[in-house]
Amino acid sequence: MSAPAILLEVEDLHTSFGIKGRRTPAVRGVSFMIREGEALGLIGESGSGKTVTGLSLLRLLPEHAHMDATVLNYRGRDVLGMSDEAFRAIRGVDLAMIFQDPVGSFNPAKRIGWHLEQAILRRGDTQDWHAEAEAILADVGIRAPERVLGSYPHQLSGGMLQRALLAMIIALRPSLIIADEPTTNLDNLVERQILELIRTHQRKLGASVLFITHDLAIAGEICDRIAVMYAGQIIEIGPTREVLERPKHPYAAGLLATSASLDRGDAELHELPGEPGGAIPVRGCAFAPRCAQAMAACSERSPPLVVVGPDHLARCLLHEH
Amino acid sequence: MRELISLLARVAQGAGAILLLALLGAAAVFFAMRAGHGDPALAVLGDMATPETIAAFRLKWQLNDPLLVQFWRWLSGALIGDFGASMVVATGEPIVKLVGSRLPNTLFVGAYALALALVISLIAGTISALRHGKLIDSASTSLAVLGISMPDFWLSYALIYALALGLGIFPSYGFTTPSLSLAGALYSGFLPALAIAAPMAAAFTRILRTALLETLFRDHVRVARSLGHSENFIFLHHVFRNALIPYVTVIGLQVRYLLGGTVVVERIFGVNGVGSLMVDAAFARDYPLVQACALVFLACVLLVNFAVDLICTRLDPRRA
Repeated sequence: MSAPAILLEVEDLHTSFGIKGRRTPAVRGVSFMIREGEALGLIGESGSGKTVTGLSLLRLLPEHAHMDATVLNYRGRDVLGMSDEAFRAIRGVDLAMIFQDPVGSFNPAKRIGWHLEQAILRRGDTQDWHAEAEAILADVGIRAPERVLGSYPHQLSGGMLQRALLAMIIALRPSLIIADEPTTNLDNLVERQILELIRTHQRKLGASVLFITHDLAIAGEICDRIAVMYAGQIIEIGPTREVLERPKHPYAAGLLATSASLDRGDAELHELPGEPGGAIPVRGCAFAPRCAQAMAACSERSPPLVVVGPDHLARCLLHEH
Repeated sequence: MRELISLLARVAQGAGAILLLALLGAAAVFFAMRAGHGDPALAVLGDMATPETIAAFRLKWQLNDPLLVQFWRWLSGALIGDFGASMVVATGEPIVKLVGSRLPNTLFVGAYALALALVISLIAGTISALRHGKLIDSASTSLAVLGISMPDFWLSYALIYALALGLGIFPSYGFTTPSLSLAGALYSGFLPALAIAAPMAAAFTRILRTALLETLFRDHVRVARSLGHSENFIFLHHVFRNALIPYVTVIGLQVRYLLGGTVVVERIFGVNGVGSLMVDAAFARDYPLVQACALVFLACVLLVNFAVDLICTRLDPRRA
């Protein structure tokens, strides 16, 4: 059996903020691909560039941002050269995004029914949006669809709104869903339900997912492969079990140790030394200043991504042979 | 049905509040007039007044009664629509007739000014927000600051100088009543309306620009974009629709500018309205006439504010 086709291919993605001459890089040469039906986790702490990567893919960056890549292909078609109008046509129906804050994701002046109606009409092949909206809402676990359709966003809870937002995405039937920490603002019970929904509907739609999160446990459950980001670069990428059980990059290993320490409820939390989000060194590995295993060479030259296992790459000189 | 009931409740509530505020306003106007200097008798009788004629005048208009008695007499009349007669400006004329004949002019110029301010600000505010940081935005923002800072009497004379005397496009003085000729009223009322509208247009433009910019970067706008909706759709339903809420609120707050505006501008352009009538009455110490004019203005502001409040409730479901 051959592997599923490649849906999205990204090579050497760079995104920076600010005006010419004084740009601050946020994403520094990210490359990955997602196959059809696959879930790729993008892990990293705040400021590692994972959200900016997601926004770059959908051209949703603020106007003072600048984005570039050598390859950005969707289903083998070049997306980078598309006009804004041509790209808009595939937004939503091909590439969709779920955001962190479900409350802010809704237009406060319009009812939920209006939002769903617009999403369903956007897809454009429906006679009766109302019946379809009710069916999808029931499908995402809303027990009183009629009442929710007639409600304004401020009348519903965050969990309810995230379900409704998911319903809008499902209505569009996209083939890639970029989920940017979709459960960060929700309580544990609701979080589990929403994750379950995302997984079920991903399978139903046959969609791929780029799951952006800082939570390793969630990524471990949802994703087929995991990419760990640090300071705007992917520093390790591989199959979920490979990365979680045999992390090769000291940063990924440290992150896992901290996560395990949290899960065990250690009296003394295992912490990574130093502060994240500091100035990126001009030369060498960005993690070197915080790395316990750093060598002299680490501050001399930037490490390339090297093969460290089956389908498993890490950006670290320790593994360069 | 539930919406209708809540709307009716709001109207009743608003009507009650308007009545209460109008009563307080009436009292304030009455006592403020009496607290000032001057005597209507002197204004009517002039230098030829003798102590006897003055005493006779005061007796005739019952000015010697205790203040509270006078207030009650005026208020009880006003409540049934009888504002008495003018003492000085048009001695003996019923005030209702006097004000009633001039009110259409004032309402016309006021509505004209409001319409101009809305049109100017909707265009300038939208362009400013969509081209923010660009040259046209700086120009419009600077113009708005100028509009807010310019006193209306100065602007009136500047407009007369440039558009009436200089280019000769508009008449510099006089106003055709709308009941006589609507086109004439629109033409002759343009400069006075523009003079009143300028500071309002400036304030409206600034709030619309700010509200649009603030809404432009909200999450739901980005979400709408991520769903692939068109930019026109997003601007209309997500950005403009939500920016309308602070915009309309500020319109309600700025309506008082219409007041001060008409009083000064009617005088300069010779518009035969309630504003110029009130100025004449105030100079002449024509107490009942000033009181009636002030009450009419107060009622207008309260009614407009009430209407704006109702519109805001409709616009913002979080306030319903």
